[in-house]
Amino acid sequence: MFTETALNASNKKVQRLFRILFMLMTGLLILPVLIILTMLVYKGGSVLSIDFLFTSPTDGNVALLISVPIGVAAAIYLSEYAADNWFTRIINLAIINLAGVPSIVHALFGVGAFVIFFRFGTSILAASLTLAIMTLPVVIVATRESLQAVPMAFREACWNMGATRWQTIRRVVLPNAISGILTGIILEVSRTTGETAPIMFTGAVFFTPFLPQGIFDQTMALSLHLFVVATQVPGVPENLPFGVALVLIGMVLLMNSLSIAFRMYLRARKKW
Amino acid sequence: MVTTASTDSSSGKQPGASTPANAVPRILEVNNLNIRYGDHVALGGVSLEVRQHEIFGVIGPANAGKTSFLKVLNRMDMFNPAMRWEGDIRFNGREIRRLKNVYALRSRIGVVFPLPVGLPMTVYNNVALAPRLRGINDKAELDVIVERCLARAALWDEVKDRLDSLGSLLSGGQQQRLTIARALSQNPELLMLDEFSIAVDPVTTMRIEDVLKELKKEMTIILVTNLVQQARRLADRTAFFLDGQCVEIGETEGLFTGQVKDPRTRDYLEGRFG
Repeated sequence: MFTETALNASNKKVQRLFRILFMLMTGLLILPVLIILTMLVYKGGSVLSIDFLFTSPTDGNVALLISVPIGVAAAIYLSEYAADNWFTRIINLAIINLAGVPSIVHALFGVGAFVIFFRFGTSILAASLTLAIMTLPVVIVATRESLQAVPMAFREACWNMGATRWQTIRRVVLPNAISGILTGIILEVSRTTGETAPIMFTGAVFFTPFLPQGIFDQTMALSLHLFVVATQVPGVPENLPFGVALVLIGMVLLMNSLSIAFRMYLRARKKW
Repeated sequence: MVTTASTDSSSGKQPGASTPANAVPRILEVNNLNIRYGDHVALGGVSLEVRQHEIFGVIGPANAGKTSFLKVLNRMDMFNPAMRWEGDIRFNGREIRRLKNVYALRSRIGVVFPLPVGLPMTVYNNVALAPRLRGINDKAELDVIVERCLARAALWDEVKDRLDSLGSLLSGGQQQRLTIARALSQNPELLMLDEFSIAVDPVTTMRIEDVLKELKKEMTIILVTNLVQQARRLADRTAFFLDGQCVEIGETEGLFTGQVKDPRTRDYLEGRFG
């Protein structure tokens, strides 16, 4: 009864094959990260010092302060309030397309709109607004997805008790969607930190000895700084660009792990 | 279509000489209700009334329009853009179609669905949600409401030690009683139960049925069920829906003892189809 048939054997073989295949793919993913990190630490570790960290540029994530409230609010409207008609469908389509626009196009838009038209000049404000527009669609899409993952039955049960839409959103929908929304924001935090193109023309400079005094000042951004140091300036000590890259990656990793820890805390409280 | 719906059942059997049916106040009057989903007619030409403090049974096979009927009563049609209805429905004498404040209407009607919906929050918060929506935030007051509603839904003894655990972690039958407790926490005038016993074991079903008989003193109950015998046990009057029409309305006992006007009703009650 329990003797292995040829079919059993071949099923088992295929199952083992796929397991190994998927495992290899996962390994392939981790490998570059490990190699990059080792390289950076090996080559750039020597320039790291407290002094280096404080004279190296920092990138403000002002952009997300702008795009997250707008994006989350827009997503709540689209998912919870708007009727499903051709107009909202066109808006949704536009948002998805906006997410696919290359960052250099956003940069040129930022120059045209914020630097020149609104006369912000190349400044933190212009750069942040450009980054905000770039991150907006992703924030909207991620928020909308996690709102829609909350079962309809929860909303209906709450509406049936006489709750308004907003009461339902605040008490039932948002508490259950928050960890998904945060995931989207986390992705954007690291993306804005690393982006070079959108800020290159709108607000970042390669080097300034002063910290910015206000939102209309220019600022140094690690990513741009790295780009220039590595490609444009002759005679830089070899380990300097690696050191800058190490700081950049370190910051991204730090922010990511903080957000992931926060998300895990929220998810542990998730209720279903 | 309209002719098959009978407006009044009192011709079948008078409830008692001293209290003619007309003297009992009506909580709900439905006149010529039609419900459509796109081109599909879910319910056509239904006219009936529900009296205060009665259990009004609605029986019929699947697709008869029973659930659609409930959905219109508390304006759940607003959640489904494809759902259209026309007709005249009065709740306590007020026309509900033109009602601006649907939230007040819904808060007066408790609903229990076939499958329990334990909201993703603690047992306590599940039951305290409706009072909180009404603006009650006093802990002591909420405690009293929560205990009373859970007790009346025959659940208090089982959950009193774990009010802080998740409502969605309770068993199916417990969750359904939690749903009933939540509906009761609204302090409803009308309680609508849509095949509540589908996900509940027979013993719990019996306990809930006992609870419903008690609740009748305080509120009106509309009981949609596909268990003919459950309607017989509980309902004062029963309506038989079939294929989007209300075939017959009558005193429950009368229907079950053969005083029917339509042969289809007898066939259904005797289990010959459906």
